Amino acid sequence: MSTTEPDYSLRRRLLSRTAILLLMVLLLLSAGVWHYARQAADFSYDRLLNSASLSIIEGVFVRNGQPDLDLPYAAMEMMQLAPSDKVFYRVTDQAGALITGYPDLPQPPNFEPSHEPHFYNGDYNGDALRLVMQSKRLTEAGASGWVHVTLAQTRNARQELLADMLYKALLTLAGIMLLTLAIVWLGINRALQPLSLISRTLQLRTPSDTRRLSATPIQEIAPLVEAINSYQQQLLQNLDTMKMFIADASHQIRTALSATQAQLDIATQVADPATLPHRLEKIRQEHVRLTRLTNQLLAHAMVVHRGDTQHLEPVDIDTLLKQVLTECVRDHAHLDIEFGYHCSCDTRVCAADRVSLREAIRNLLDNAVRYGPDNNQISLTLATAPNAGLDIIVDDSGPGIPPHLRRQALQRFSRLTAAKEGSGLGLAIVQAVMQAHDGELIIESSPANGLRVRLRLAGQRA
Amino acid sequence: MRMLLIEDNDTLADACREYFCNLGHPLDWAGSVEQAERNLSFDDFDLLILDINLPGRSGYQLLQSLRAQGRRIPVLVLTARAEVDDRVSALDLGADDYLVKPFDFRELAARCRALLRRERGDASNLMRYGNLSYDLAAQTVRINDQPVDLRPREIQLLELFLKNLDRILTKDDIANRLYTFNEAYTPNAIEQALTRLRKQLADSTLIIKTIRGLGYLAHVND
Repeated sequence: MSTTEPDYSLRRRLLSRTAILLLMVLLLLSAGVWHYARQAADFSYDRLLNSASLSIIEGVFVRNGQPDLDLPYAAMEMMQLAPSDKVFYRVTDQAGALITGYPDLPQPPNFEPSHEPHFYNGDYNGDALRLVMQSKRLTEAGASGWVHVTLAQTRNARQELLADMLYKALLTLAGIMLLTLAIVWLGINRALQPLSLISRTLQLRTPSDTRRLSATPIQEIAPLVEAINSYQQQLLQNLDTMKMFIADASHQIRTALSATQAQLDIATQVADPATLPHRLEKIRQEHVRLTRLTNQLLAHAMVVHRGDTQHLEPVDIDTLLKQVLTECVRDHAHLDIEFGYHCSCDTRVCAADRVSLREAIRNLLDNAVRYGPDNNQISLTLATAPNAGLDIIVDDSGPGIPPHLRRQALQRFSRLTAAKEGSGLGLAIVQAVMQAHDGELIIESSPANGLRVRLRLAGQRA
Repeated sequence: MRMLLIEDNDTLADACREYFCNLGHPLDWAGSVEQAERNLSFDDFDLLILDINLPGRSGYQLLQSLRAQGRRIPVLVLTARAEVDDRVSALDLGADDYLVKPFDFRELAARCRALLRRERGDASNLMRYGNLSYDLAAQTVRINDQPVDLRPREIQLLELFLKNLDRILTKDDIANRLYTFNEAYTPNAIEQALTRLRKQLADSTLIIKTIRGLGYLAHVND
């Protein structure tokens, strides 16, 4: 019976989506932090490298027309600040010949000598290196040209600094994310609380509890509470109608049954057999009444049920009316009633439920026969209604219903005259059918001063 | 005529048997489809009155198998379900008429007579409609065994109505059947013929109703 999917939880969805969002933000931030930390580490260690290489190039001098190097200790001291890193250097003269150091340190690509230091990255014996190339222009006689000092350092210290910065930043970010998730979790629970409160209240209710749900100040929940309350009111109203209907129906059935029973009891005790036919005729009449009542009750239940469930389909109303009228004429052929049919419209098809509409028209015709005079003139008309739908009109030349009683006539079990035995359900059935068709039941006076019942079917909705 | 009633309610079946016996028609009774099939294999019946809700196989199944065997015996279906769909499906399956329970015995008898009438119309020349009898071959009409003097056109009109009992005939239907292509006719002529026919048939159980705007319908009220 449960239609909930185990994977579909509002709480879990909100939370997981927030978490995914936060994770994406975290990834973006991490990339930023990584970039920043790398820049910061490079920046500080590049300065070191720069100072050391500057002091080395200060040690280059010209002796005997040849550049030479006096390696200053300060430079090496400076490099000691990164104790875990290896340092390589190379000094070349204006002709590019090696003065001292490692000859095979990687060369910078597209290098143009200048007084500015040139930083670049490279690989040496499997170690990632950060290199700087410092150049100095010699102008001595016989030794003029660019002297280059290349100083290289492995990246361990930089990596450590980078890792340290990254680690601390990520830790902070993760902390913030967890905190956010916790707040979101609390918020969601808080937001869903009124819903669980409503479902708990509804679960704990007994069917006899007709109280409304108490109003809520929360804007988003208020429409739900309102909807539940109005739905409940509708159900209660339906229930009341149903109760009244059952009470009325039982009254009618029981009355007819007890009348039959009473007549039967008397008939079995009767001393004079001559009175029997009279009794039996009474029993028969009572039984016929009961039969009609039962049929009408079932018909009523049928049309109400069909109205609740049936979808309307296009029906040729003209053909339907002719069929019903033919049946009616056949059944009442022995009476002096005159029947007529008139169809004055071009479109004769309308969305309807054939079965219940047939029942409604048959009821109207039967009513006209039942309550009209012996020389009644009953006519059935199909006409175009002002609302672009169809009007089915049943006219008779009977006594009609005075305007002030017309509303009452539509109520179940209300009979306007005590003279004729009816079930009091005929017009109620027609009314129910018209409600199911979104149509109207209009009671008027016929041209012959009798009753005119107009069934207005809605035009086909585009 | 001999009829077979297939009905599982003893009280109703008993009452039916008695009613038809009093009318002078023997009525056999079967309580189930199986028993009905045995009866049908031994004897010939002129009419079947068939209840739909039966223990075991339903009335529909019997009707279906009868029609599948090509047996044209008239079948009147009794149903307790009042919805029109049900009646339509009964007629679709080959029933000739239906009656919704609870019914009036007079109504049941009238429907049975109507069915038998329809059936025998082709076989014999003398057709009886209540107190009216019509000899197809001699084209003579009698009411309560008294001959009635009708003109040829009225006889034609009467025959047309008798062949279309309980159905609506429009003025055009009548004109097309009664008058040949090169015979001039006026709607008035039909009405005059009809008026005279009605007058002559005043004592009969045949009623010809006018439905204004639609046409005419003949019904035997017996």
